[in-house]
Amino acid sequence: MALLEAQHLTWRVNDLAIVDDVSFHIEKGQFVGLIGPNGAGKSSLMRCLYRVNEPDAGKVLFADEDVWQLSAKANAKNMSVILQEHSDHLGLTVWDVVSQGLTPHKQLFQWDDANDHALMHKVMQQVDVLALKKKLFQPLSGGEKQRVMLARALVQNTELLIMDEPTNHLDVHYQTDIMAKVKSLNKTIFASFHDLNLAAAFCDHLIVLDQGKLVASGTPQAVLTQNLIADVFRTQAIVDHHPINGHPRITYHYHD
Amino acid sequence: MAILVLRITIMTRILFYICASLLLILFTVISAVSFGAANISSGDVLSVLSQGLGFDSDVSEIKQRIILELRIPRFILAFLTGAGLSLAGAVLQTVTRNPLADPYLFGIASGASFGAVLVIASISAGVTGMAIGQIGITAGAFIGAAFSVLIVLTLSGRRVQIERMLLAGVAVSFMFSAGTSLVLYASDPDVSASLLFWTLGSFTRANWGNLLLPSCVIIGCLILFIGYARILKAVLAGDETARTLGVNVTRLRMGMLLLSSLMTATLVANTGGIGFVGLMIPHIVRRILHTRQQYLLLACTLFGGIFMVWVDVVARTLVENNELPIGVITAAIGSVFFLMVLRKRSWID
Repeated sequence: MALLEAQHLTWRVNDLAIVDDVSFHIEKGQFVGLIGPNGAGKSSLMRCLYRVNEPDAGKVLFADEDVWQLSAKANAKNMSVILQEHSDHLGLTVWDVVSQGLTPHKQLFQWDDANDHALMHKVMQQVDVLALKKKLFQPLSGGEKQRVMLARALVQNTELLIMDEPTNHLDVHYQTDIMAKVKSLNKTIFASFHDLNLAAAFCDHLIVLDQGKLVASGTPQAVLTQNLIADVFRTQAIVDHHPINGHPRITYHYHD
Repeated sequence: MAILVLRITIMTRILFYICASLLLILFTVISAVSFGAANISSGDVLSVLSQGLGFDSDVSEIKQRIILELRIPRFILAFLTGAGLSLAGAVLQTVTRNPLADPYLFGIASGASFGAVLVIASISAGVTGMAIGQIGITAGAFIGAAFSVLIVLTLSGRRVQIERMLLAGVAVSFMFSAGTSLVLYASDPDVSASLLFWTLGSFTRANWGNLLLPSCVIIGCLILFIGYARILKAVLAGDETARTLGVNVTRLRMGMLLLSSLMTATLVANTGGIGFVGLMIPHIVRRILHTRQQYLLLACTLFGGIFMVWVDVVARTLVENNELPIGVITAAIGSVFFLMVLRKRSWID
């Protein structure tokens, strides 16, 4: 059964379709990557899924329920989201930021209890941020911030994790570090990428978006071809196999 | 076992904070109430307060009356004002994620001042009867504040965007300040002198009769804000993330703005305009305590209240036989504070 399904999703700004009749589904336990050039509509499509951009046409179903018929709170129990840019969190510590993940599970006047603290400890240890718990969030490095965001998403404890360019602004070490941590969670993941090699290395399935339309969908081996990269990304590349892991490896032509 | 230890640690910490806060308030009331024109010692204050617990007091009747009928109500009004404005500032800074937000920035205080000044000027000019009194002034202040909030929300767009909200607030603030100046200019010189003193902030009108409404409003709002503390904290993650955490950001921002207006209007009607407190106290508390949202709100209430009590002491004692307007002192402290903050940029970064 599909955990998340987009049915003929369309989202417009002033009659211009930014997301244009897009349909796909994500199975439980799958790691699905969303790729496409700048301005393809990747972030807009994701916002339709996590209830920020209300679609002009089509539906988003989570476990057969229309997410736009659910309350924000009910939806937050189904899916957690990690965005590419973070707010400064105005003086909050790492512990406070991670505890934000408990928000949809609590009522008014309901404080964190000892079980919540135990869960937060466990999750922060899992993603290696426990040592930062008393530090302010704002001055942390990009890699540390992204791990804190992952800890918050895990405390939110949802079936689906959506990530909008999770490796943006990170160096090579933190890129592979955060992706390896995400992959080890055994959760259902939907993430957008700019780095095609990273998408090829970690995703089970890829969806390609260009000018708001879905132009390809399939395994990384099936989708990442020289022709597709030339057509969609307007870049010449050689696609072969990674010598160690066997997934597709893309080498770009930087000079004519 | 580990969970039980954690639970005991949390309870002990909360109990410690409650006891420390109560002791701090008791110390403030005993020491601050002894300052003033009449010669009253801290011992006199303690003796009069302990009468309430059934102990005998040898303090003269005149001193007892000064303490109970003048200074204690004034202490309570000053505490409520500092607490309420700091609380409103903390909440507005949180829902707008702007460390410079306070009731003045959104035109709430200017709207409330205009409404109250208009009612007071009307009473003085005989346009309305004296019977309107305190309730009329409070109603005028609230209508002015509500009007400013209505304009700000209308101009803030469907999703109550922060940038539009702040710009609208500044414009509304100037508009109502101009209105207040016009009323002052058009009033009889005696009336405008007393109005001017009032607009600069004063606790001279404090009496037991006019403490009930601000007490109920401030305590009620504090309880509501504490209930919403977790949701307020989620908004600090940004509008989009807050939505993914299950928060209806638009509704929350409107609700918090209205509650802040109610608190500000109730206080302005009793004390006039007192700036910078709502801006400064949450800033300092957040910076020093790095505390969680529910504790931040309680700490702002406590320290805002205590700060205002001591500002009032300064206002009453700095110049002999004369009382300085409260707003002048808070503005002086606030401006120096902000110059210091600007010199040390890490405070606002």
